[in-house]
Amino acid sequence: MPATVTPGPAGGPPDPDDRYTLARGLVAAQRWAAALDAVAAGLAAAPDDPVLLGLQVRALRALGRSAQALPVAQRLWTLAPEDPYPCRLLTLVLLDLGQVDAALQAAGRAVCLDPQNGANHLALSRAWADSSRPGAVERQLASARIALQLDPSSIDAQLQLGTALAASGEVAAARAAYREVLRLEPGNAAALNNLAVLDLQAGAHRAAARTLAAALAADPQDRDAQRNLDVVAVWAVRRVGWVLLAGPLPAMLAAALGWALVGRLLAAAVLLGGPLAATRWWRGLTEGQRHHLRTLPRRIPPARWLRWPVAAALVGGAGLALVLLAPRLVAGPAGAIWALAALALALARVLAATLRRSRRAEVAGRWDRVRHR
Amino acid sequence: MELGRVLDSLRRAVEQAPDDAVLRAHLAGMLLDAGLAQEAIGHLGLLLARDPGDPDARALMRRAVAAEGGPGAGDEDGPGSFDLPPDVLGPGAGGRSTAGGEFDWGAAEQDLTAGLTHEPIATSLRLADVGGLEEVKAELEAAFLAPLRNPALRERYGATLRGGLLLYGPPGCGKTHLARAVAGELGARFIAVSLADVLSSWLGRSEGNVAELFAAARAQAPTLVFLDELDALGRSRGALGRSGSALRGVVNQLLTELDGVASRNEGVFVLAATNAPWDIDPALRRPGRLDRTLFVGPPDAPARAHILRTHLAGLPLAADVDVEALAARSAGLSGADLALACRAAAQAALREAARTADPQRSVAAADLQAALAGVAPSTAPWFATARNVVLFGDEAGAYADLATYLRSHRML
Ligand SMILES: Nc1ncnc2c1ncn2[C@@H]1O[C@H](COP(=O)(O)OP(=O)(O)O)[C@@H](O)[C@H]1O
Ligand SMILES: [Mg+2]
Repeated sequence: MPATVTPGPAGGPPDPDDRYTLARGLVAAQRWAAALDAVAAGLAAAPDDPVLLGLQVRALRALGRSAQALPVAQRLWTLAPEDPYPCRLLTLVLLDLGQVDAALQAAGRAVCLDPQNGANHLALSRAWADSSRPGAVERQLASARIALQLDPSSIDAQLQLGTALAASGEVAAARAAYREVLRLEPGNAAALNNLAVLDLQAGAHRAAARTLAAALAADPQDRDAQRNLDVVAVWAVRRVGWVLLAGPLPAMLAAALGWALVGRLLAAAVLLGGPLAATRWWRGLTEGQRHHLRTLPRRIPPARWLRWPVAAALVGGAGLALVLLAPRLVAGPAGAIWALAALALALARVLAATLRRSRRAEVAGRWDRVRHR
Repeated sequence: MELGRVLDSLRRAVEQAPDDAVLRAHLAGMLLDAGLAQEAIGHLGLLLARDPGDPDARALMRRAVAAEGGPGAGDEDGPGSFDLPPDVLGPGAGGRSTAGGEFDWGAAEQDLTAGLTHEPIATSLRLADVGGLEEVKAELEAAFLAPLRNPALRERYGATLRGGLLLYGPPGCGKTHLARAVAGELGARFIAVSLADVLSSWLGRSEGNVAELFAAARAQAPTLVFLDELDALGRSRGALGRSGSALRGVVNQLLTELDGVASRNEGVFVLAATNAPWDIDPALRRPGRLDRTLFVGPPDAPARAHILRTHLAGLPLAADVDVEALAARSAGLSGADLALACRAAAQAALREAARTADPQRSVAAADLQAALAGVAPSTAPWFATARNVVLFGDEAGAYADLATYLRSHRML
């Protein structure tokens, strides 16, 4: 008969927290569904047990069921109105649900109940981070600073400080904060992702791609990093559009100056060299980057990012054809029409990018949202 | 045939075969359908005690809890209105510190582990009952079964046999099932431990529990220790977070014991299984510890046919049921998905039989096809994560077999 070793608790008096061991352990092991079952079994006997209710809120949040966590957190709060822990939990649940003002109140109450606990200030900082009230950014930063002072080894506080600094535009200090997180916990996916977001905002797309790959290596389930990598991919495709549009320019110029042969040679060089350079670029990417580019259409509708490079390729191709087939026409009306078309396309592109940027600023970064933890 | 009578006979069947998890799950599902959630919860608790990871039992338990109107269930109506009293931002009581976010009050009497019992693993299962996975089975035979049976092999190949084996793969594809089959082959020389065992049987003293376990294994050597859901037991520090510090001790104890197993060569073998090998503390996978990995992927067509046949055995089948054809049409489904579909088909047929008062109504091909079409592959999220692991996090090539699988199935 196969045996399952079931040592009894003979080794000493049972721990007073025994009844929580299973549920707590399942939460620690992130077995959320099993934890909920264990909590439900416990609550059947003791419906108002605060530890179990707290564990239930945590498991429900982790499963993305914050709407169900809210009444539980509220009950917990009514059971222990003088304890900051339910207030903190309530803050997080309310933030999940977008009820920022209520979250601010709950976090503020937590801080009032125990101003010496960094976790309360951290909750408040997170609530301010989601708030659009005037002064929210400063308060977010101030609370994050206090949280870290009270609890200097807290990775969460350090991460929140970085986010708050980034929100106030102190990019260098934000970077330093995230690096400190990485020193405390190498491979912290949130810190890596947030560093990459700063790179993205600074236009350092290559660096961002590398950092995001590291974030995904650390946490293969990191949705934010994956989406930010999409931003990099779209940026790369858009850059290709500019190369396609500008590629034939030297050849066109030569043809316009009457150097037909030089124009043809330059055009041939572009036609041969372009694909070669493209192949080298593709080979130079990591497998992960290539896969990400290949599968981009599955995640973002091609209409949103393919129109520009296709138009650029058409206009660029027409220019090359003109130089190769009828170089003398380049100096005439055909050349002028091409130049106008290329200029119009470039202008449209710049305008669209500017518009998108201002819209993005309005909705506070749909694409480049810094990940909160 | 009336539902109550069916339930009665199912209840009797479960009493007679308390170890038959499939039967018990079937009963629980029917109880739920009949609105007897309370009774279903009891059965599901037993199932989950034995295999906390069982996705079917968990899904049913969630349904049952929801039906009971219990906490964590029901209303999806969105956030309720919530108002803190106006004095919320006023000066508070202040100064009261609650360490670690835990409470120091509140005393519930009920032991959480009540109702969760430890039952020995079913013995009747053999490797031959596991569909497909031929290479994995061959590896298990060479690494464990043959040496455990044959002392001469252990003597001559001791060094080769050092180090444990880690099964990994998407949920519901037979890792635990395989281990049960190994248990059936080995009898008393198989010692299983899961997260629930560690957490609940040695309350509050999980580390002691691990040591105890390996001591028992040594006393009974040669033995095979099976660590199910190793990612839960042996999470990496990063994945643990601070709340998991209690489990940290378990990891350290596991490391000590694995090193002991490797150096002392006392005939203790270690087999582990996980859905998330990337969450496991890398130290646990160093040479001499769990250094060999085997990918347990979704079943191929012959394996699916085998699994379907297993789950359809004992059901009244119509003559038009062609298991091979059904298997061919269910690519991508896991063993657990297939089990779920079979149960759904049986319930549909039963409902139909009850409605038309026709006890001759059997499970027809159409029932099964509809059920299979209604089941989405539960492995999809796992493969999305696995793809990222292979693409971004596998410089060392630890997941070469997974990469091969992804490529050959056009998922990369
Ligand atoms: N290869 C297989 N052969 C037979 N049954 C299988 C197979 N794979 C999965 N199953 C069925 O699916 C259920 C879930 O499988 P399980 O071993 O618990 O998955 P895992 O441990 O890999 O998550 C099992 O109880 C068994 O009924
Ligand atoms: Mg399993």
